[in-house]
Amino acid sequence: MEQIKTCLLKYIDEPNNPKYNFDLAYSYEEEQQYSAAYSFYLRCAEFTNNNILACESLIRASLCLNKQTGRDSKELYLIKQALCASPNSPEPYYIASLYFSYRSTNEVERRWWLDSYMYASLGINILETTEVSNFIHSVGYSKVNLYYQKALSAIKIGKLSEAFEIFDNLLLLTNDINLINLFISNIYQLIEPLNNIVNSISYKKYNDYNRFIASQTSNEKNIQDTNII
Amino acid sequence: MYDNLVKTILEDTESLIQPIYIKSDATNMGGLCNASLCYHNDILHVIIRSVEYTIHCCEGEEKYQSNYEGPLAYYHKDSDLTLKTVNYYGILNPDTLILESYNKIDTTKCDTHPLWCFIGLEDVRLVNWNNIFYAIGVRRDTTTNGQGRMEFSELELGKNKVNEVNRIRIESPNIHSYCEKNWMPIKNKPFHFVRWTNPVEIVEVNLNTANAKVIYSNTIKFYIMPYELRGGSQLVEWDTSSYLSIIHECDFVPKNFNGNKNASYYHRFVIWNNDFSVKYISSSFNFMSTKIEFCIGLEVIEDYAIILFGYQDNSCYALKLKKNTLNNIIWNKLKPVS
Repeated sequence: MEQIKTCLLKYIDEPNNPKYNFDLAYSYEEEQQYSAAYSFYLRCAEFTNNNILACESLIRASLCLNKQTGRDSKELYLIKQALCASPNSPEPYYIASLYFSYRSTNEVERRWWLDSYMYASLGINILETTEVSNFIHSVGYSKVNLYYQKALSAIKIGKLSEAFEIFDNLLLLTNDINLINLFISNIYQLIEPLNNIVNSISYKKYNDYNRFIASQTSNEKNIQDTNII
Repeated sequence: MYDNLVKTILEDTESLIQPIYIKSDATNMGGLCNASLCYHNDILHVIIRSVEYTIHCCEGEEKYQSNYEGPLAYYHKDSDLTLKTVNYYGILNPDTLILESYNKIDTTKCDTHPLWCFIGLEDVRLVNWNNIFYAIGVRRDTTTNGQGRMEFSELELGKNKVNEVNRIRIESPNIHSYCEKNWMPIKNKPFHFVRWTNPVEIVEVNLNTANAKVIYSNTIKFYIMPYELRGGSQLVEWDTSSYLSIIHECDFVPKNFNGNKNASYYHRFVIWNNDFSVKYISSSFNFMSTKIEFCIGLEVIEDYAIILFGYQDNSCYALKLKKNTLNNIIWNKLKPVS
């Protein structure tokens, strides 16, 4: 309550100050007053010229709706608004990926794993190609979490070897023993299905073809090298 | 329009503002707003409206509009298009304005199956007349077309529970009226309400017949106002010869550029003579610089005025200031431009 009051007085002093709106919203969110928080997050987004702050406000507003449950379409709309506000921030991609993976099941009409994979991939692309400042308050995003999100959704859409590779690489990104155990456990789960694929006729044909192409390329290279000599 | 009146009020160091809220597990995480007050037997009673929706209210450039409704939208559940209201009764500390206790009003005895999408008793004014507490608001869920009528909800206050024990729907003096709402109770005149402000119409309710009779009306408008003056707080005695109330007005845009609705709400102080003629209407103001605010809570306790208002239907605030300070604001800061 005291934090809300402190932030409220600052807001009253400068109601159009985006940071004061954001701080007041966050203090309400901390007290689980999600509707009140929503008002001030949206005001912050409207009044700020800082795209990353607007993006963070809209993402936090979406999280407030999430807590209220049953407002999925509005939640997603805000996440998309946040993506538009700061397309170079990885956080909204992570949240978008989570949005779809949380809601996905094996039922035909709820298989949104590709959406989850897509947003994780887009976020990783941002992560690997641009550098922007992070959000003020954590939304659970981290490099490891974003890659993990991609790996999980990759499994669900059948990209098992890619998932295997991501988990393998994730082992190099953390010293956290719990995370390492989690990644190893995922890798173990993947080994058997991967073996199944490796033993399948289709995979053998694919492998033979690739070996053939590789040998052709190698022969051509040898011929070129000979000509040079 | 005077922007951010609360900032001016707080320039007096004796003034106070307090956010009013209830633990979220009790309110289903929806918004709290539009609270009303009744000071009775040295206790400051309060009714707080809790709504199941969250209002999406764009401001400034209105860049982040909702998907289907534009800049102003009710964010209810995707699978439930109804707009539900429940009410909490509580006790406010008159010194600190801290909510000391609260209970959800149990309406199960009087509830019937709702027939329209606005469900529950909305924007309740709390009064104590003839030693009975009545929560008086508009209900629009009893017909399939959303007809609104003022309803008296008789409350029984227990130690840890508050029950609605009787409900009376009041017919309008104009039976063809679609929606009657925001009637302003006159605190020291039991069953009397201001139905219209400009020009004035006062009605008296008879609970036995469930009717309201016009007992005073004036055909002359006090001022030509840019928007219709709508009801707000109860009328409380301001000095020996006048009453004070707060009313609201709405700049409603039915269709903006993209065909969506939009609105801005403003408030005014109204001082009434003892005969219910209007003595003074202040210039318009907003409380905390936002588009959607609503005030139905006003009480005077000794030398102080206490005002409660809702912010975008998403939060609620209590203000306390000295009567002298308020008088100065009403007559000077909010003096209408002639």
